[in-house]
Amino acid sequence: MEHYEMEFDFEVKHLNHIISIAEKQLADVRHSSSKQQSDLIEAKKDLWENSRHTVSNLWSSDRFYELVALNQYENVVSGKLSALELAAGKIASLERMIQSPYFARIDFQFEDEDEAEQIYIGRSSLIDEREVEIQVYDWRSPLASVFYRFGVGNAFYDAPNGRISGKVSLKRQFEIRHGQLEYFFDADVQVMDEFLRKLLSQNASSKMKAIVETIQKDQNIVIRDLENDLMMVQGVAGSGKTSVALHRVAYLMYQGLSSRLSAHNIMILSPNTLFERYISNVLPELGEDNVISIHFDDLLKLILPTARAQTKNQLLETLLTSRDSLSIKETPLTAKANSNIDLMKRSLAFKTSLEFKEILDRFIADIPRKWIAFSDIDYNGKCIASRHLLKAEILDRKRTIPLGLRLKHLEEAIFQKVHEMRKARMKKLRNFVRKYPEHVFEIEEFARLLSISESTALSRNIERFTKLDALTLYKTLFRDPNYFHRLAEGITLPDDIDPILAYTCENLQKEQLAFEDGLALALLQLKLNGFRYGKSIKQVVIDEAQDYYPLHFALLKILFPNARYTVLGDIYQTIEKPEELTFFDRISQILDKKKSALVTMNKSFRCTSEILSFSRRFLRQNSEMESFSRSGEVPGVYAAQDHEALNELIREEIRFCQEQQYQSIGLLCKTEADARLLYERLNHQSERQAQSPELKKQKSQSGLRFIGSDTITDIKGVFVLPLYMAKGLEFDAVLLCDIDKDHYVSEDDRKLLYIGCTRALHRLSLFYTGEKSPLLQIE
Amino acid sequence: MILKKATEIWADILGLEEEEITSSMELTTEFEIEKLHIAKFIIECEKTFKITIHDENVHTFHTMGDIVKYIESRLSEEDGNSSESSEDERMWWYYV
Repeated sequence: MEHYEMEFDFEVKHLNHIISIAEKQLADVRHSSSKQQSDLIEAKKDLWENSRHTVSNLWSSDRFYELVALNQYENVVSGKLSALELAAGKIASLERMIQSPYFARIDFQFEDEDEAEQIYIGRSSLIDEREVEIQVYDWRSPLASVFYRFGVGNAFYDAPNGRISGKVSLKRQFEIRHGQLEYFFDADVQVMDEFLRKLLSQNASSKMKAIVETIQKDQNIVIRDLENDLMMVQGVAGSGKTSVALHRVAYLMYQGLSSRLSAHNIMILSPNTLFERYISNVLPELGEDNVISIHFDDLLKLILPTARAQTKNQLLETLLTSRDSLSIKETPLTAKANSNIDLMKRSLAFKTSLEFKEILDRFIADIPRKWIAFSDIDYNGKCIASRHLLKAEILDRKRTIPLGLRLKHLEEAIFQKVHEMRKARMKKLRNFVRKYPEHVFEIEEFARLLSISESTALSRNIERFTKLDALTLYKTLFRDPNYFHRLAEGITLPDDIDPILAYTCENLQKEQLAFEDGLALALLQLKLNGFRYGKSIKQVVIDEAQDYYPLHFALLKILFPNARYTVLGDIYQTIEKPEELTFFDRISQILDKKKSALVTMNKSFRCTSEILSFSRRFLRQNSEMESFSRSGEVPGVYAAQDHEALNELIREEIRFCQEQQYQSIGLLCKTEADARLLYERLNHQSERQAQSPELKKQKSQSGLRFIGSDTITDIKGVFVLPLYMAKGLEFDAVLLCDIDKDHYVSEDDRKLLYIGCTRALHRLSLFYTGEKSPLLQIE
Repeated sequence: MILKKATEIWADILGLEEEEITSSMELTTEFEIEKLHIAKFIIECEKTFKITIHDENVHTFHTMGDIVKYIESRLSEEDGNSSESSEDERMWWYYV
């Protein structure tokens, strides 16, 4: 330990030395820029910052094409960086450097030297100009690659003038914040996960170190993989999936940079904004505008700008609240509600399946044969295209071209004929105008006006069969059950297909589309009319993949045909549908990539082993989850007589957690409605009690926040939110509320409880009034 | 350049000052724009820019800006640049 302290002392001194160099350079750069120049720099910086905002805003305003345009524009600009901008960039980079100049050190002995050199690696390089010495190496530099590729022992790197060999004698990682060294540790493997890093710094027993290193090695396989076009990860709760995904994104970008690929655009599909935050905070040098993080619901909106489809959260809310009214005893009323929910779920399962996709494909092929009302086109008193010929032409054209485009070509061909005949037509019109001299208009203009009018009518006539409306067509598919059955010949349909069809028909009359109809409609739209921008995406990362259905992946395949995929999920964390390991087989079958791999991450290290073993009771399947040796308190289950008492218990627990310095505390309820209720109850009560100024102060300290349908941007504080929104997030302490027999009874509820419990890192408590949920009885 | 010329023509037809015409100006009767004005405008534009404006496209012009965009695309089309850009555009469609 004494050794550690000595080393720590050394590292602090070194850190201060480096920071002073950076500070000196910063002062120099600032000084050398004259007042006028620095004004300009400010302006440029502003511009840069503003454009950064625009990039993220573009997503919220559904304007994909502008994003693409902006990207291209930025590429041009960055190619012409002026000296001033370079200075501005240098200032920004030095400012960051003063906060945290490096994150790693390797001691590297070059082959022809006697002593090892200390190489510090940071996010950008720092060169001491007077001594012409590199104080900090950019992590993208060739020498830094040694840190990423080798442990202690022989190593080499490829420099521009050839391979350079040597020996690594130390690998050290630092946590430096605000210019302060928080901790460091020596490990053979680069430990990327912040949680693991903290574990190492606090309790650096050799056993722990070995475990962490194995975890990191497993993670590295996924992070560094460039072989596979499809990389799938099944990772249990708390195995660090998201962290792996983040680092994989960073690594892919790094690869994109080093191989000088201009297009390494990455799209991240995630239900939360963790990625965006991470990327903008940690990797600004990588050019964050090449990473797009988007929710699948928003992607659908890009494809179907006018359709109003149910979001995933809305779907879950509907499913979960309808169950609420159910008790275990079945009455005629609950039986009906039950069967409604069942129908909804079966409709969901069927219309998101590959069987349904096959039916959709057949339907699309059938559209030109059956559902387009071709009509004869007359111009200048002649039939220039008969409806039979038009139809035959569409059927003859290449099937690989989307129908929408084939129709567009057809329209162009018709107008080609019109253009050829226009001269003759104008002559006729002029003669016609001349015959009726009673009007006051000039012949030429009036004839043109007539031509414009008739051409407008003609164009509208043609559009009637060349412009396809996906929703109208989609409705057609369900109008006649006999037609549907004919299309589905040879495909296994669910037993209750007819109620499903009727249910769908009824739903399509409503203003809002059902979740699964939104998906199917998007597929139809893509197949009919195409989608432009997907080709620029080279990498797609899908987080929480277990939430997606086969149709989602079919859509992605159409949207991003050239992309490589990284798919991360946990089949044990689904809510409204059961999943098994075959889930990943299906993905790989749908995406149909040349090389694919499935990696399983079974070691759960984020929650304490007590929380894990408590959570396990909610798992029906036998997961091969291994817990990590970190232990904490056994989760508590607390009962209260009434709501009043319950609120007091919860408030007490929050207070306790805050005393423990827990940064994030999550109060999880079953639905949004429940969460809102709890939020109001807790707030109301504290207001009533907050008569003394002292108590008032306490309330503001607890600072309860309610998270409804918005995404969470920052998870520091006390939050009340529905369980399904907590997916993928983690809290230091979790309070699961309303764990009673009314709220948690069904199979879906059991899964919710599993997800809820595994959100807790250190402390978990469950609360209920009345009768305990039967799901808690299972041991 | 196109906008300026088109604005001149337009101002001339309507008897307005050029300053009164913007690219977002809507071509509706609100601005006392009659269909005949549009026909006149189309004829004049064809002469000035030496292009053909197809009559079936005229109903898609809602603002001055739309017309300018159309003239631009017609000009580049007749320059022979069209094949390249529209081919590129079509490439996007093919992957379905």
